[in-house]
Amino acid sequence: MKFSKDGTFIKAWGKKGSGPGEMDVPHSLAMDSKGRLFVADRVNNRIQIFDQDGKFLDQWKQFGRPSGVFIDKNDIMLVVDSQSNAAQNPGFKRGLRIGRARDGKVTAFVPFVEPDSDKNTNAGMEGITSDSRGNVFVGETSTATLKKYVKQ
Amino acid sequence: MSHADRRNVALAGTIVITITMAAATAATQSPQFNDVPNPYRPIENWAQLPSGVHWGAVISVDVDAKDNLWVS
Repeated sequence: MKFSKDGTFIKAWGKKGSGPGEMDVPHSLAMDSKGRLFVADRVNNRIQIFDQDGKFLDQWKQFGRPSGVFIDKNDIMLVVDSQSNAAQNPGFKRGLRIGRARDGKVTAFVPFVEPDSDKNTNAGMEGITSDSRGNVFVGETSTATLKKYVKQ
Repeated sequence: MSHADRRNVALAGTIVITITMAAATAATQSPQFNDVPNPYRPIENWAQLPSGVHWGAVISVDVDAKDNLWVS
């Protein structure tokens, strides 16, 4: 949904489904420097991208099954995946994927280590942000903690 | 069905199975999104809570203009 700065409702879009513009558990959102809206469409295992009027622009599956998304001032996109496993999103490990909001390229992956992700439908990283120095902060659910990540 | 027809059906079946297996393999392996570099190291327990306060499930976090951290 979109509201003006004074709280006036502007518009809403989308319905439950898996087609372009449809969503199933839109769990997080963020905006890039161009004003494009990135929605973590979690159960559909994709990021959907919309313009300011809600027009569907693209969908990206390379960031896994997104629980949280954050885009910094340089359009670096951070996406946390707390649900991928063999049943829910085959081929993807849980963790933090970092890439470019400009073109969708995934450049880094910070794995969330757990003994058996296939037995757990939801565990791990959900909250995500970074500070002005590029430090990354991740909120975890099952492990109930807040972790700080710094460049090696 | 002629022998040639049976052979073509068998060949088509083999192709379908091969394509299906290839697709299944691709679906179960996404190394390009799992095996990219990890340039970070974690710092555990860096945020200190007051005595008697414990972490719950941390589902959202944000940073303000002064790099203070806001957590829910």
